[in-house]
Amino acid sequence: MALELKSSDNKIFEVEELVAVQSETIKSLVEDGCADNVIPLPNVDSKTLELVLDWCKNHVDMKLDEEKLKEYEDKFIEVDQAVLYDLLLAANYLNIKDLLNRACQKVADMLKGKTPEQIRETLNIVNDFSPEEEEEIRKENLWAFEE
Amino acid sequence: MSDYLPHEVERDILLSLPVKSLIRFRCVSKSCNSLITSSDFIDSHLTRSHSLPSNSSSNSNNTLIVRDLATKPNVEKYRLIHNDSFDRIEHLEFPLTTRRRSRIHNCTFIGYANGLFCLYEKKRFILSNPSIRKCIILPKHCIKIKTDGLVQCHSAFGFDPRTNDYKVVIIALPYNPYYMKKEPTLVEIYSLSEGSWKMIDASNSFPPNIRFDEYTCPAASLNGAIHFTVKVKLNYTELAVLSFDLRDEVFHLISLADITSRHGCINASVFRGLLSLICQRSTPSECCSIWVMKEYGVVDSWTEQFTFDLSGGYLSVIGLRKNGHVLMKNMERMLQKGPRVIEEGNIEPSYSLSLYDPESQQFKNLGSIGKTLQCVDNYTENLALLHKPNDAVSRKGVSRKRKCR
Repeated sequence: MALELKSSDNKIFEVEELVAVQSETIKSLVEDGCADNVIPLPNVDSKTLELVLDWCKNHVDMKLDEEKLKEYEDKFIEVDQAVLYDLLLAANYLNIKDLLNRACQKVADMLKGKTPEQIRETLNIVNDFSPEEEEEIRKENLWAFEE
Repeated sequence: MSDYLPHEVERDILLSLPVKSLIRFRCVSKSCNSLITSSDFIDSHLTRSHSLPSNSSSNSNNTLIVRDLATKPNVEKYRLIHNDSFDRIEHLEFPLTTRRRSRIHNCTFIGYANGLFCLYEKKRFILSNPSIRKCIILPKHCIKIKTDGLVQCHSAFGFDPRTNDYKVVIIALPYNPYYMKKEPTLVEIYSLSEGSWKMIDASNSFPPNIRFDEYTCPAASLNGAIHFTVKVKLNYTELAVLSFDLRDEVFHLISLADITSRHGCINASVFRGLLSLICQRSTPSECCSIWVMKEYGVVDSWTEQFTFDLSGGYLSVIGLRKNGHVLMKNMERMLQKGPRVIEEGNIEPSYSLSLYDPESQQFKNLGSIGKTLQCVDNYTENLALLHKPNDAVSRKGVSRKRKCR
């Protein structure tokens, strides 16, 4: 059975149900009987949705071939930061566990060696510590700040 | 926290980070710090580490951690051996305590679970977490740990995944000859979550005719219970595995059926998530067998996994690695620098590690480990103890009398 998904920029994607239900969000809609018409996904643009659906389709196709799947996943996740964040948000919104885990791991790998200041810049976080408070944590854990 | 990522996504990203990065990121913001030091996050991070696939980049699947006996007081020394070729060894050193007048030295190794070490020295227990370079000294306990004509004491350390709690257990087993009044079997338990000790009378569940074996290895922690071998004294002496459930606080005795008659030295361990036995015997020849209990608690399910020859000069079997190899320690002689002369008194005993691969049936010498090693185990990164204050009892000059229930 085929489902119709509509991206935020009004593009319609026709997908096999088996592929689409990799998303727990869509799966619930199907189970509740709300998937007869086009399913609107206002939080995902067409570019990202296309990538996500590719992930889902390959996970159905390559289910039994672990090695091939791993190769696909490794290649899939090699995207630039902006696309990675879009994938992350889409995987979260659509509740696709394995894509979410993989994307989180990729972001974590990128953040691993950064300084707190670099993290704040990358994730757009405001530093609400006073200089003394920050220094206290640093002092107690000098080993974590060495390389 | 961040403006464009939802909180649960941020949390997932943080959960995928290694411990060193997380400690650094405590400085990012107040909410980041609260998140990383929360019990919930600490527990989830451990669960996540345990379930990582073996090809993950932040995985420490085959890393070994060695605890070394320190040469100066108040210092914890460890080595992380990242791979079998021994070419990536990380040295860790950090203070055991910040108390100025303390001189803690030469701790006894009590047990190890999920990257945490439990040590004992000068009548206090210490929990050490090398992942975050932190120790805590536990508050005073009541039971006087000693073994004499009246009582045998045994201590153990374990983790209960049902409550995500680490516990230290002291068992005081009285010697009860039939003509004397029966003394209770007391167990004192420390819970890391509670931060305190409590005493219970475990006489009801403690099996009869048990004596502790002074040569038994530190207890194995599995399924929320600690396990170690004990002697069962009936008409003859045989060995069995005694378990203590850390949540339900009851003892069980696991029979070893006829395994005990074939092997002189048996120790409980964990192998691929199953209760296992490391059995050694010297007749007809030196060999070691590994048995597993396929169905926990079912005596009939004890199954021999493999047996191998130990006569190549291996001193002892230390344990089982995550990848199924057997880790062994052997003595190697280190000659003095200079002319290679072996003289009486000039030989420094030193150790090396070897492994046995049951699949290929091959032995491999890993490398020299020196003479200071106290124990070796499989490493797991863990944030535990992060949110605990450093020293259990604070104000100096105030003596507190603890009431023992």
